[in-house]
Amino acid sequence: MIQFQDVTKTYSRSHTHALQKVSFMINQGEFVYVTGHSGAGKSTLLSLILRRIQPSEGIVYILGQDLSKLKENKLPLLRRKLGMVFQDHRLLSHLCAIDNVIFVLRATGEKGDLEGRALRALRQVGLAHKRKAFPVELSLGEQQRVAIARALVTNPPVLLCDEPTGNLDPDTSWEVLELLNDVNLKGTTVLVATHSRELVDQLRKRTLVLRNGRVVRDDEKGGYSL
Amino acid sequence: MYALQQAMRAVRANWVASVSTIATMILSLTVLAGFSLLTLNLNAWLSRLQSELELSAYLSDSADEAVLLGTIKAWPEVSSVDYIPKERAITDLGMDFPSISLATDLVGNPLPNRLDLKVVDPRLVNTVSSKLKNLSGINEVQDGSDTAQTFVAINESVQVIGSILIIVLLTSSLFAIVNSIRAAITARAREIEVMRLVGATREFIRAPFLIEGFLLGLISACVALVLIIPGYQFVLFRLSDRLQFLPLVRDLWLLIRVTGLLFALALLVGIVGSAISISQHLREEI
Repeated sequence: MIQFQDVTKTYSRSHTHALQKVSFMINQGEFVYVTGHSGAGKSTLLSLILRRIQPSEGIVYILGQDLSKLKENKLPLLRRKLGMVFQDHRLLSHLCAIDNVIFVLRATGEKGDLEGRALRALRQVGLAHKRKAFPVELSLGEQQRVAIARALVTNPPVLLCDEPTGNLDPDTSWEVLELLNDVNLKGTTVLVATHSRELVDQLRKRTLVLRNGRVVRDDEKGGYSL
Repeated sequence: MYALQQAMRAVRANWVASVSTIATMILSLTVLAGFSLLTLNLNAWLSRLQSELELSAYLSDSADEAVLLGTIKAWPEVSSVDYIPKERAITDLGMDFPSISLATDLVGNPLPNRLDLKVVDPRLVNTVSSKLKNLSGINEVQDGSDTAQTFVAINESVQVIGSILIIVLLTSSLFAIVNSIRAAITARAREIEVMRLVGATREFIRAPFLIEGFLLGLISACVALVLIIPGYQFVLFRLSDRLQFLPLVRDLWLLIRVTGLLFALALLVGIVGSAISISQHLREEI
């Protein structure tokens, strides 16, 4: 489902080797942590999956597609299959919770009962009762839940999370983690980039550890170890 | 509908940039319309001049007017040629100056036979004049070439200056639109980022900005016309009595064409400006 083959990414301006000869494979339905210190290459790895950047060497396959051969006009179709959750949630402040979710459906050209689908996604994250609340009226945990609902509303086979609990307290982090686990149990492949020891130790899943741009550990049993 | 709503929201939200852009475009469009109308009027004057401008070729006593008439009628630059015998010439002169008839009684008719010519274009007066002077049997040629050349020079100068000014102003309008849309893009950077990451098509992302450019162009064209139409009517009202010899353009069809040109240019500048801006932004992000 997600495969990196000897992927190297060098930022030419700063001559930084963000990733070096990274290879791994993530199968459908897996829950995988990508951990490492700041600057280890976690964000670069997610950016490569989203094809926001291209590798300097190697090949990235997503859902069987070699991203280097993906034409520019096909990029939106790929991204519709990759739900994305950010540390800072990136909700649109002028839209209420349900409109933030509907926004994605509109942007991807979905037709039909958009409000019904958005409401179901909010119900999935336990926030149907706050559908009319604006981001500023929600707690950080609730904002992140809306962001997860937004990422899930198009039923993507893959959910990518970049430090999803980075701004949250431990209890709220656990709630978000449980939610991600529920999503995974329903068949969605979940990839969580995090440097949070608590998160990785709390819910043990396969863990890829990055250090200085290299995969130094790929452990099926999980647990935080750098 | 969504794109239109977003575009109108952006115009309101960035109202300072929008007003600045609209003001620049109104200035450009007003100058453009002003020069277009001035050129139209100058062309109308040229046409009038063309219809009235005559050359007179004075013949020698031995000239064969039939041969000369046949030769000159074959010239493509000449629209008409009339033979005026000296008897008719003195009669015509006597109608304007009755005392001439007394002098004629004393010294006879001093006027020569002549040919009166009209040319198809005032710019050709000099050419025709030279050709006439080379014909045998013609003693002297009188033409209004100085007047015609001055008028042609004024018209061409106005067109050149107007073109330069219009290009400069339209370019500044284009960049005003680019900057205005760039401000809107910056204000909606997060929204665009989300759209790109969830897989929105380029067309979906671009549409609100293209519509915003279109709206700015449309508003500018409407305001410019509100200024130009009464302004031109005022000029017509003030000048038509004082300058009765000038054929001021009142042709509705011509004025509609100027109006259409203004609208088309305003909308084109609006759409092209916003397309440049959003394309730059989307390209930088990849």
